[in-house]
Amino acid sequence: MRQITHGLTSESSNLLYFGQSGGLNEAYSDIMACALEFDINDDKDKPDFLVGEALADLALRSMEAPFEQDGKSVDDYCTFVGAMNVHHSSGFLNRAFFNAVKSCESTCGSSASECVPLMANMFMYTNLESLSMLSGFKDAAKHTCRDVEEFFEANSPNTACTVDNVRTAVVEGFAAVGLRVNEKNCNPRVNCKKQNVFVQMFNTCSNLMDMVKMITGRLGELSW
Amino acid sequence: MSSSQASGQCTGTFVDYSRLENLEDTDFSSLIARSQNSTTSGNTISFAAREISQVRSKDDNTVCLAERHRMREQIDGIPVYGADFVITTNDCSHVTSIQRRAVLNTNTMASMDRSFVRSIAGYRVASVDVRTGYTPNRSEQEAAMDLARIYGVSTDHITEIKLEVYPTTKRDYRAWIATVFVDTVPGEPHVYHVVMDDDDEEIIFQCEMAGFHANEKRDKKLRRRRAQDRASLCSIDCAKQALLTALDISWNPDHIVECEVQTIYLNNDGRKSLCISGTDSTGAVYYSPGQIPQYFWNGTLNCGGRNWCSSFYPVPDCPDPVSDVQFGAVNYMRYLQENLGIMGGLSKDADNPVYVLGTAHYNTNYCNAFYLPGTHTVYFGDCDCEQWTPMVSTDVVVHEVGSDLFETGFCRYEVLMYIANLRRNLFGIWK
Repeated sequence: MRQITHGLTSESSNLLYFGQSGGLNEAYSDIMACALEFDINDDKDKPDFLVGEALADLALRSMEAPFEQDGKSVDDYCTFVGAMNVHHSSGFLNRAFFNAVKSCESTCGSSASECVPLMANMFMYTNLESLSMLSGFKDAAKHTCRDVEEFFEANSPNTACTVDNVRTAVVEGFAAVGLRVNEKNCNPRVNCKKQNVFVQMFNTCSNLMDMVKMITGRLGELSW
Repeated sequence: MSSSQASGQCTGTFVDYSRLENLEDTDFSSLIARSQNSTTSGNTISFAAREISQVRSKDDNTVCLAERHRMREQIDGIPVYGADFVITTNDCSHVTSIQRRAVLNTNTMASMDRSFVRSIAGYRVASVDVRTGYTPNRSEQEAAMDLARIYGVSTDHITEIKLEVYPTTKRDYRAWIATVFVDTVPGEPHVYHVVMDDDDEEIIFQCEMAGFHANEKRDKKLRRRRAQDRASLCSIDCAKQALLTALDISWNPDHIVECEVQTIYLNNDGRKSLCISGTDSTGAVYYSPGQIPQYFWNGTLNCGGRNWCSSFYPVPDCPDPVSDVQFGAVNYMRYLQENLGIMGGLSKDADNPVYVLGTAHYNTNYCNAFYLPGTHTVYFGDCDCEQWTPMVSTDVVVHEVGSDLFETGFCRYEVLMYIANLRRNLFGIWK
């Protein structure tokens, strides 16, 4: 098994906490939280694709249906707006993950308890190894697809799924959120029902503004 | 640090617990009276009030608000970094816990003598002894200029500079502590938390803040925590990191023992975890929790019977949220270790230490959980204990711990001068 050589501190993605990178950032935490629920299988907190459901009557977030859960989270690539709360833009990757798990279940004939950790580890591998601070939704889709083979080499997952099965699951997961990923070269292409040009322009401007604010305006907030 | 220094083994930095310990006493007044005018080595120790916070708790059958008085210890008027004195009382002014730096009988958590900390009369203050005394060599302005020169920036890039005593088990320093903003490379800004030795201008400690963000909140009604409050907590927790000491420790995974899991904020005395032992080059034995997802709990705080709790608790009834936090986090560490080869759940590389400080019961009625980038600290509020239970379910804990492990705020330790050649530890540290 290939040793993972990069340190978390210096080599993790360090996704910036705004825009698409912020949404990915949040989603990776949700994904690992989901994986732990399945791993622990607690009677008082049964495994599911919800976040925070054990604390009150209403869950904080849903990975299966982000928008339906809170009326704010994005469900796909094209409903993302650059200035939105990262806890809402996390819906993109959360939903891609959910659908990747479902695809895994159907293509591999495996249960959710097998597919959740498999896909979570796959997604997290990409976060650790391939993404950078400003990675966006397309980067996540492209690199998750590209990393599948390397992930298998590095981690030798105990699964009935093949490399191709997992790649297919990844592709289908992102297809469900508006990114059609080419299985051969892993390049993603936007495939939304409605792609609003003005929204995309706004996204770009918002990201730039956020970045400027982060670089120039944060000192006052730093407190230690 | 270069990757060539990585060993892949569990060797490295160890957090020194010997300066922080819970004490118990019912005589609040006499303790304060003695504390405010005590001396050690001829230097005057005093305490400057920092904050008083309230925390919802349950004492016997009476639901009451506990108060937590936090003071910063000073020697000859200079604050001691990380040496907060925290006294928790219930609504009858009954002292439920006192926490300050103290000397343990040994330097291991597992074998410390608990009877020692049960008597105020018997406690001994840990030595904070700056070799060259407590008179600084330079003014604040001069220190800022020195830092500006070292980092190649102008003095207006040096903020929040202050003189503090910086105690480590290596030695104690009279140090200038500051935040440094470095923008010398276009597009690559860096913000460092820096500790400079006042004696020789060496950078003792440098911690990079890779990012910062405000915690998001769901419910405005429960938004009680102000930014400046969080800021003060941040500085406190960052201060705890000052207790990091470099020791080469060879860990022995086969030697598993029971050891204390500490907190300096809460009355969590008695929480235990299984730890593994290790030895340094002198043969001294150390213990570290973090690898074994099993623990024992004997705490007192809860949230009016409305705690969320895992099914896996070894004790009946609902225990303290702190245990939930530990449960989730330790299991996450185990998961990462088993699934992604991340040793100790905290790092893949012995060169890159990552640990997490967990704080439950954060503030009063605070209904959220968050992490503070750059501090390795995750916070969990108790919420209102009515509509919401404390924010410590496994998924929330994992989310926040994961935030600290994987997201923007990594604190990259570069204790440049003194431990550059030593490898670092990988274990989770719980306080």
